[in-house]
Amino acid sequence: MAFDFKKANIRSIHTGLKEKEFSAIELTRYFLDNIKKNDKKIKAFLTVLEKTALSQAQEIDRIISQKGEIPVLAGIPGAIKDNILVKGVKCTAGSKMLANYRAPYQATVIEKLLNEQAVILGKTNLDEFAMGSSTENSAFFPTRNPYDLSRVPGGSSGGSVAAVASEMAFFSLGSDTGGSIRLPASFCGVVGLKPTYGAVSRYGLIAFASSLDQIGPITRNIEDAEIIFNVIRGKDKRDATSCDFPAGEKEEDINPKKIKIGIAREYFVEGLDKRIESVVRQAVRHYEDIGCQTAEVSLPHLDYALAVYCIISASEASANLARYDGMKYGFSTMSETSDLLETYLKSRENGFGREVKRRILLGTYSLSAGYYQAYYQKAQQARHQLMADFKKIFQKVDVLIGPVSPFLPFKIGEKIDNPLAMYLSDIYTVAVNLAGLPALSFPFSRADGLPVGLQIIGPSFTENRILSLGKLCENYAGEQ
Amino acid sequence: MLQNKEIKRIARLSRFDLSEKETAGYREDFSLVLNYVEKIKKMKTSDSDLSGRVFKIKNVMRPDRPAEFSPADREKLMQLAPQTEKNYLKVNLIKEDWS
Repeated sequence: MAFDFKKANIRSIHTGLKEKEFSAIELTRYFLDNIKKNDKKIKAFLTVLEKTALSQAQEIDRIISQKGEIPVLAGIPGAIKDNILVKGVKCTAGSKMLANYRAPYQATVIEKLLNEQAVILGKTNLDEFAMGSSTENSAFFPTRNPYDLSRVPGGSSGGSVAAVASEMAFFSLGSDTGGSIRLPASFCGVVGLKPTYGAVSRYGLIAFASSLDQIGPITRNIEDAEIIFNVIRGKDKRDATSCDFPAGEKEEDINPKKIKIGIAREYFVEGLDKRIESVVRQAVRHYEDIGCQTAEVSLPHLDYALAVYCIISASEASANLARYDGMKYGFSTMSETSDLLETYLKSRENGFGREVKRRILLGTYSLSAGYYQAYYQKAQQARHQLMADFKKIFQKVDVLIGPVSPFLPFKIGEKIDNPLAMYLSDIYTVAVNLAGLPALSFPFSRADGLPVGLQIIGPSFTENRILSLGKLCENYAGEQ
Repeated sequence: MLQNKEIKRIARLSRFDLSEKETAGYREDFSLVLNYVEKIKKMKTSDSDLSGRVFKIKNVMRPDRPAEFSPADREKLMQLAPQTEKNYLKVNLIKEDWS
């Protein structure tokens, strides 16, 4: 095959298909072959959809041969995190609870991808119910970081990210509740976008924390993330929290060099790995060199963000996961337990893993009589305060730049026995979900051979702005 | 650190069983996390908005008409059920007196 898929992006693939430099079948086979070669080591996939992917590709070749028009995304093979429903396909949420659950309906984002004739290669591994930062909480197996197989790919969208990073998928979809797209993207050297809350429909996303969850694209480069984001976004009557973009900045009107970049002083705390700090400061200097203005700003309550996130996300999770009761679907002990309460207790004890149970316990506690005010209500008030802090900052600057993770990708098994150490992976990402803001994570540089991502955060609905700014720095590491 | 019986109480509220050994394990982890999240008590917040409503979302209404549901989709849902009888989902008996 003359065409180099390694260097391709969505537009070059689209041109290549139209000009018949290769067929959609060849393109899909390339990725299916990579899955066969690499996935035994990396273990990104839970389900591979070889037959349907090839038949989707065949249909696109048929349209091309009849000189029909094809959408930009036609033939592009993607992988989908296994908490997003693809109708008729097993959807496990990385859990024993749904190990044999076959999706009875289609997620809106999948409908949109299929309307644009993207090809779906399979479903990828995740921390159980998206709760985790390393993909080690999957009930099935951990996924490995393609850069160093002894290390975690990050989580919870570890499988989606590892698939793109190791060329087993051209793009993937993940979900981000407290950093679950951005953290693994940083750990594996790929681009991940967490959209503004409400920009992308959550219909068909297995719910973890309904006021925090968002689906977003994971890609090799920023332009591809932008293309996929524009396909999957939009108001959906089946998700009452979704909305259309308000008429605002158009990409053409954004002059990246006129953007004022803020750097929060609270980011540079003791827990931040010095090598990552140096990469972030390098990025700031680079943006200054190309003409951007920078300014130091303050997020005075950033230190509380993780605690607030833990309480709110656990509380929402305890409510959302109450539906898994062994009655209608999912893991059930009903054939052994004839008592209703016993069925609830035994189905949930056996169906859920440790981390999920830990979070449900915290959520139930925070919402229970006598504790609700001190924990859940207090956390909601704190959340308001954090949102106000961001609003204040964005009166002074246009975006925020900072690290994605306080440390480099860690070894498999290193943090799994210490839940708090694991939660600390998210200190730079959770505040963004609490405030509903959009954030981009993209590979900026390396430290000791491991990828280091940079995070760009903007006010609501400024995806165009943060994507433009990211593009300015995108190939920086390559130039070093 | 929370007592074992408190962990058991929350587990019962969460509707899952924990063995004695598991209870001890969760007690440690849970207490560790609880100690950490306690810090929000120190944060100064305004009492003005107790509703906890974070985003200014309006209620989205639709006409009160049942949605169309195809027999094929209904069949898919029934296939997922742990137990069925004829055309019904079969569940455990709901008694009056259990705690």
